[in-house]
Amino acid sequence: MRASFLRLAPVRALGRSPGLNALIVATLAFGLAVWLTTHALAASFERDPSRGTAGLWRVELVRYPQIREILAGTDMQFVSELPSLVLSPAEVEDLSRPPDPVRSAAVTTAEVPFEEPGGGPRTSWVRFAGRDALALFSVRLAAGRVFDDGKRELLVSEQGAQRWFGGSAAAVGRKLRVCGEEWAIAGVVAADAGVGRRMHLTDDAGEDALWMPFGDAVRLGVLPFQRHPAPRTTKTANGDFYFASLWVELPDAAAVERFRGWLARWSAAHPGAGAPRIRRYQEWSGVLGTPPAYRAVELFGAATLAACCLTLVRLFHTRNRLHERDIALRRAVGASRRSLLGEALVEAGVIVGVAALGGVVLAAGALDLLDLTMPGQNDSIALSGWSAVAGGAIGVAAGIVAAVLPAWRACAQPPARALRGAA
Amino acid sequence: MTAMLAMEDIQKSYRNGGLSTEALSGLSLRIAPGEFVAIMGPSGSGKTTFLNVAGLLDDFDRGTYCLDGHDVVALTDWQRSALRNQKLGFIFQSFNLIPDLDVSDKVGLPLRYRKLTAGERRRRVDRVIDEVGLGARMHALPDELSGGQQQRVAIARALVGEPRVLLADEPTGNLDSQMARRILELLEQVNRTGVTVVMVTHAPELAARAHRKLHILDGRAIDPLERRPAPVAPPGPWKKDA
Repeated sequence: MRASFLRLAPVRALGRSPGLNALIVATLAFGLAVWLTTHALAASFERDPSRGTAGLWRVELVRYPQIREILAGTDMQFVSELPSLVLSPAEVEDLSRPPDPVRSAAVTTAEVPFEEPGGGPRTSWVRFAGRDALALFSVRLAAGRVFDDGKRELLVSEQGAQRWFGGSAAAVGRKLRVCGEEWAIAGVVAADAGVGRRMHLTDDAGEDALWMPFGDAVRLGVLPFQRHPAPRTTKTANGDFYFASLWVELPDAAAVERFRGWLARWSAAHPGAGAPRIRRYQEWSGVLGTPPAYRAVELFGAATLAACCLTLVRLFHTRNRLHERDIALRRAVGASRRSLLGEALVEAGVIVGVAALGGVVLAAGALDLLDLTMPGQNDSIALSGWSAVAGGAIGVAAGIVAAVLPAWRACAQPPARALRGAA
Repeated sequence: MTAMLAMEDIQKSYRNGGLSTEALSGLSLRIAPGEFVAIMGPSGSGKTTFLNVAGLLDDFDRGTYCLDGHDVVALTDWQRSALRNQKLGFIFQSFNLIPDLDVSDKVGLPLRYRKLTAGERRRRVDRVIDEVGLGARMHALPDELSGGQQQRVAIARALVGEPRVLLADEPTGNLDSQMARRILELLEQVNRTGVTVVMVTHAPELAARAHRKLHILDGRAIDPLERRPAPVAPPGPWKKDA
């Protein structure tokens, strides 16, 4: 019993420097937790707001590359969007109809005349969208179905349905007068659908927003011209623009290449239309030429983990210095370097195993907290099993390397040196 | 007769920054199996360095050293470790006990690096602890033991592997005279079983009980009367100095 208990000596040795061991565990757990949390957050942002948006690309026409200098000194916040946001209705029509069978979603917003049930005439914000837009962006309906083009059908928000008809189910099939025409309510957009965020819309259409087919915006001629607010500096950079976004679904790399080719041909046939390009949904950050902000968050997490790993090396080095005499003594009684490294591995394995577990638990807790404070995500922010295993493995590997390197150095010196120092 | 320890022209120096200090400068000696040799000499003469080199705890710069017929220069780390484990036992002045192991585990430490069954390890540990008179303190930790008891634990740890050579670096240096005598009796008892004992000591009365005294001065073995290098070989079949 006693002799076999001796095998646990490396594990029992953990109790010899409890403060230092706790510091090592806390350091690695913290680094891992930060990295896992930011990684899960970034992964969530990448796949959300819309589930399955990996195939979505935004079509852009870079028409005014000098826009930055033109707008310098103005108070415009989205200066970098302008060169790519301006698509005319005709361009949207053209660009959403490539020869390949791709799904597309044109989106714009306009303020139109509206007769509010029981409230009289006023104006309301309308989101004009292609029929596929809601499906492409995974916008959930609380009731009914998506409108059909050309049938005078629209969607209302859940808040509007509640206010005007007493609920979502009751609203479906009812009529509304918009732009002097009568429209049937085909469906109700869920309040928690997170529409603006999912569709990368920077405006707020309000609670009572209506949804109508994009084709009707063109037919009704309600697409707003936006007067460029910058001072007139050049003939080409100042003028009136339509603001509309066009998204296309390209399921694979071949489809992307075919679409690019088609865009190039379209551009050649339309001189002065601007340089066309497409950007992945996930890469569209709102600022031209910059990576999405969540990449910076993930980078911060990785940097934190790297800093913690470097600290870990120092802490293990200190720990080894404290145990140098024991290592030398074990060498003196016949332990080979290999067996001592094995013991160091067991000790490090226990320490970093506990730390990795702590890091995963901390990250899971932090992500739960973030999930609670960030409602409306399509996918909940959670630690995936793969991330937990990968994070744990990285932590264990980093910890073991950090532990074994100083142990190797300690084993490499003659035992007499450490024993002399201890004496 | 093959020498248990045979050193020829051993040189060892320590480097501290740009400064080099020669600890052993051409040390040559032979110690026969079963001898009890006392190593004497003033502080800084190289006694402990000799013991470290003899015990394969430290490297040396030049010379040849054969331990029980093995040329140690040619050995790998694993072979040196095996030699330390199977042929050598160490007793240090400062005991060098691992603080979190109890007496039983401490004594059994060298056996941990051998392929022995748990039962065999336990049998050997129990026997040697009984031999040093600590059977009742089997599970005591170092701070629960007196200095003498700690040194007996260290002796038990050195003996548990049934070594051919016991190397003791001032084993009584931290003990009172009565305890020192008892430890010495223990070493004599071990030596009577055929174990070669090499003991570094400052105390002439302890050295007097050895079969042979070796004086080291300035890193060389010398004849203390004539202040010249001592004869390398022991005087035939060993016997106690007159």
